[in-house]
Amino acid sequence: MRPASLARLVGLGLRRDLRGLWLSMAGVIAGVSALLFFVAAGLGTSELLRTRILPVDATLVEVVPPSVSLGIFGRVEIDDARVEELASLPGVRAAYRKMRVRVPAATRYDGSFFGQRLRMGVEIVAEGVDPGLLGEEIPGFSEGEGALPVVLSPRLLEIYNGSFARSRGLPRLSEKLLVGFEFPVEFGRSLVGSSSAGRYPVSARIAGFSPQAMLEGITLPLETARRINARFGEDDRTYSAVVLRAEDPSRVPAIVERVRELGLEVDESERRLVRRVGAAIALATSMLSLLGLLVCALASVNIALTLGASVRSRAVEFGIFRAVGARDRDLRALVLGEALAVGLVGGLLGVGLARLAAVAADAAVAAWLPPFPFQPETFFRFPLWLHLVGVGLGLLAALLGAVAPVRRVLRQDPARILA
Amino acid sequence: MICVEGLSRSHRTDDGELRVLRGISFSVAEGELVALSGPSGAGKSTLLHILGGLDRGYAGKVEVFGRDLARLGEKELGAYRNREVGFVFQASHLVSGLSALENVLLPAYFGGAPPERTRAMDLLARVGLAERAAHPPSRLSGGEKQRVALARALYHAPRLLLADEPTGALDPENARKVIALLRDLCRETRITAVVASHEPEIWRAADRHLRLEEGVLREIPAEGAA
Ligand SMILES: Nc1ncnc2c1ncn2[C@@H]1O[C@H](COP(=O)(O)OP(=O)(O)O)[C@@H](O)[C@H]1O
Ligand SMILES: [Mg+2]
Repeated sequence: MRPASLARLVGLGLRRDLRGLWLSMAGVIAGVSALLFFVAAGLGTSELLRTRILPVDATLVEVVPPSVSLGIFGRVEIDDARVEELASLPGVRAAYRKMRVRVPAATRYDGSFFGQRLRMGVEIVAEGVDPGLLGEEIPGFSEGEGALPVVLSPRLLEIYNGSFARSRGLPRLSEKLLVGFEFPVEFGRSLVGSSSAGRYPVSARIAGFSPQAMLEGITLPLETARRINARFGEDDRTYSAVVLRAEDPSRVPAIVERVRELGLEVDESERRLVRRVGAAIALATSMLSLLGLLVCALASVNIALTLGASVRSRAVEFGIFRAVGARDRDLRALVLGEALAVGLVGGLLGVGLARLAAVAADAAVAAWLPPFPFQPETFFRFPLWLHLVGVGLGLLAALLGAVAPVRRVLRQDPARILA
Repeated sequence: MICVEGLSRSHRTDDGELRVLRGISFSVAEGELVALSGPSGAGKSTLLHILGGLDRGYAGKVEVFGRDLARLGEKELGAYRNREVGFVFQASHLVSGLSALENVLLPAYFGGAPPERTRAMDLLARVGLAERAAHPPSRLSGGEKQRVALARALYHAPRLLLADEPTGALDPENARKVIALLRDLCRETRITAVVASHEPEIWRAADRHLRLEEGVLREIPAEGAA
């Protein structure tokens, strides 16, 4: 059968039962759009998780001393020799040291804060790092005279803007605005009492922001942390962690194995958290997607019933086709063509509806929910392949739905119908 | 040339085997117009469907133009119905939704070649319906529909025309017109034709008259020749 003839007769067949046609198509639209909506939501949220809420650099391995030490040699600690050893492991491009400031610290602020009066005090954690860890150079981030340069996590700013600023009526801030901002920090003093070794009040100045900076505190140059520890007579020799940068992510497992052989541990808490939250998102997505698939299956059954009834009512017409020379494959092509047309248009409209629903959902969130940290512009991601999956699913539902009607047509006996 | 030998056809029904054709034999020469009569239920339609390749559940031998129909594959049988046979049914069985012209073109939809609209138009003109080409079947009278069906049957210039009570649903006036048209077309095209009909007028127009009764076929001598 020539394509033009096929198209003409398929069009004719579709117009025979417009109500059934719309019913069949509505099922496909519902199934495809539901599936795509949920999958796109899953993709969008997991991307949000990976890129903004818990960004994990796949090439970084954080090595920490073992939490429990066994054996007669005492605690395995990370000193300079150990760092050398780690840096020379195969596949390691660089090693960055981290040293906690081992005395309590607090910041008290009482004054004007971007046009508003702010009075508060918080205990903070401080950690020194090799500046190279922070990636691109942050100006002024080195041990020296004057105010202590500190680097903050952009996620901290996000949380401040998303919840803290709102609840306290403070202004929303940008990284640009904050760089250069100075605030007092007092080492050797917690809010509940002073350390025995005295106090060390300094002024800290925000030098910049980096995803590698610690989330729940301030990040200082390594040598600054070392100096403060020395000043208080604390350990200024061993490191609280070493971050290894692998040459590429594929080398990470081997590096992790070597690190464990050395008696050290790898801090995988963030990675594990990402994996766990990611798995939860994937689970929720697949449950909801299953719902979409179920609707698609129902759509397929719906097509089978509607098309089956339509084909039965057109027995005479198919009989005429037979009489003028239609072969089995012609009739099969006609019925399949009608089903696939429903699947294709239903699939396309389903994709469109899913995208519309996503836009509507994003707009609803923006309009009705108060701002919250890490709020994205969209919770959905529609890669090209997802569109193709949507249309393909519509076609598949139609194809499966056409199986029974096709068999019915091929079983019809033209001699009996036309007599 | 049609050659039928010992053709039997029975149907399984609720009350047992219904033997419609009981070993009939006959032959039709090329270009002959044969009238087929018999009471309702005698098996006229059954015989035409077998000759036309629509019914394969028979026993015996059916040879049309030197080909044993039982030996044709599904593909060859489709081509046989498409190119070698033209069917006209009692109920005109036009496809609603297609214009008269497209109904004439219908065989082309299932053939390999592109539809030839001028050929279809010529045929419509020949049956006197050139101005009705764009009309859907719903706007044609019973007689007009049968004439369109006749044009459709002739589209591929088949060698065999099978008509199953083509005037059975028409008033006498229209029946006469269709019969005349059928007779003239058969003469013009020298087509071999088997026409099942109760119309004495068709019996007279035909070269031969076969009568099917109780599953048995017998030849009725032509009135004039007797
Ligand atoms: N597929 C079928 N199954 C059962 N009985 C059939 C079938 N087709 C035809 N018949 C029966 O066979 C007989 C002959 O039918 P038919 O050839 O249509 O007769 P005619 O055309 O001479 O009126 C009728 O009794 C009819 O009911
Ligand atoms: Mg009949």
